[in-house]
Amino acid sequence: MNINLRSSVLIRVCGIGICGVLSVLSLQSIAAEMQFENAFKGVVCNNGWVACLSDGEDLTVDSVSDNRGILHSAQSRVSFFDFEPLSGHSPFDMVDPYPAVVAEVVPEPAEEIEEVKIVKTKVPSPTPVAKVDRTPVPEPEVVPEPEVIPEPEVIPEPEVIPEPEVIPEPEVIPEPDVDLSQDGCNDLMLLEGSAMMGELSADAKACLEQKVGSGIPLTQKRDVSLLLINNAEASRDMTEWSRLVGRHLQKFDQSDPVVCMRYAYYLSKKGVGKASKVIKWSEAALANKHQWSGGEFKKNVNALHGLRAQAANQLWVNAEEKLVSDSSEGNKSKAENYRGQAKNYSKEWLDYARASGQSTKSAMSLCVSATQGDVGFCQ
Amino acid sequence: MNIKQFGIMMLALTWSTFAEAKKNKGDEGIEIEITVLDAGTSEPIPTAVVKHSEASQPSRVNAVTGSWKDTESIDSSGEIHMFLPGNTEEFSVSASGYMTQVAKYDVRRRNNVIEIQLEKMEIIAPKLDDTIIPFGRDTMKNDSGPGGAQ
Repeated sequence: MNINLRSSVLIRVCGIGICGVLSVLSLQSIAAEMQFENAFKGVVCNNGWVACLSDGEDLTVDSVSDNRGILHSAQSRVSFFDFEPLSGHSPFDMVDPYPAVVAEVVPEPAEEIEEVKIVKTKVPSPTPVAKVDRTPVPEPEVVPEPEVIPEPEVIPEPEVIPEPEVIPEPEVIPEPDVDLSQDGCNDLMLLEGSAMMGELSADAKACLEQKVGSGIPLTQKRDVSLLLINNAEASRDMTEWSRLVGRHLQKFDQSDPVVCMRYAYYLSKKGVGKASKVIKWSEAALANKHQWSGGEFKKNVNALHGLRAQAANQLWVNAEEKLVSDSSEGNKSKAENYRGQAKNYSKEWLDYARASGQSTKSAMSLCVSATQGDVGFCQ
Repeated sequence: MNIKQFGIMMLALTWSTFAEAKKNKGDEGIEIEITVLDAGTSEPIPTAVVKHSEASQPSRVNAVTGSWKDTESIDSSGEIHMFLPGNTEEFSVSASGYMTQVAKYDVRRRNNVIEIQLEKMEIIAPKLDDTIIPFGRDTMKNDSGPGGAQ
């Protein structure tokens, strides 16, 4: 029991002693290190600057040279080869005092801004230049802080107003001057563009009209007439259009089913007074239906059958109304004839619509009406 | 001629008249009257015609009243078809410019008056304004189709 107690006390005393020795040693080393750092600073100049004048000699971060001209690190105090002191040897020599005015910074005059580019003036860094006096000075002079030179006013960037892009004007393609006096409006293709817009000039129209009335071949008259027709339609002058189309069909050409059909369609809107002409021009168009094909054929032929049947129906209705007011034999005969015509045309329409797979509703109604109840005829 | 003879003659005349009337009563059909009106205006249609399904020809209505009436119809072979009570008769009523109607009617003993309204015919015309009339062009004639001026 006693042995244990003694040994434990001994161990504790030894531990405390060792700790104390270690503490003293560490404190001594820290103090020595601080003394060394105070004596030999890590920077070249002992006042903390990275460059200075010491005895009129420039000390910079670059390098220092010994007596033999061998370069050493600027932080080195002695030469590596012969231990001769270098320029930064003594940590106690103070650097030369700084002058009151180190350098005057003359701001560069702001250049006139001619373009959009911004010219930024650079302010030179106020690096003080100090003169090191190697003679020991009891109290270091207070180095005045360099004057803070206000930065030149930053000239605001002018708003960049982009110049509008100059879009080159499209080349004006002059309209080909059709010299009607010389050319005689012979070049019809040249006039087609204007005709499609309904903008044939009065001179051109007069020239073309004169041409139509001249002794040129009938095919040429037809072409001139078609030009005038297109011009009238594009300018929405339907009265003139109908006059020109009527003349075209009567005098120049009846072989174009489109012209015949369009004329029949136009006349179909003019009432029963034009019904006979509707039938006439519908039949003329149907006579040249072979010029169409496919869907155009089906659509146009069905439309022409319809136009013809409706026109005949109008004539029949009109004859029936006359018969009511005057039940003469002549009127009775007329009404019966028109009814027969309506019956036949409506039956043809019905048959074509049925065969071509188009709607038969209107054709059937017309047919049944024209047969006066003979539904079997229309089946 | 004495009174006795006159009485016999009158009796015979009355008998014959009654017998004839009885005979006629059995041969005639029942009168059917059809009035055709415009569905829009309810006015009579003067141009309307009525055709019985057995008849060979349609009959015109009265232009003023728009009515037609008859007791029988005659077919194409000249056979008479009488309208008798209990029968169903079929009539086709039409007029120019109107939609035709077919009416079936159950004949009654009396008061066979029918009113039929016809609607105006509306035909949807095709629109052909968009078909462009081409300019005149002369093309070369070839073997596959029409050539020359087109």
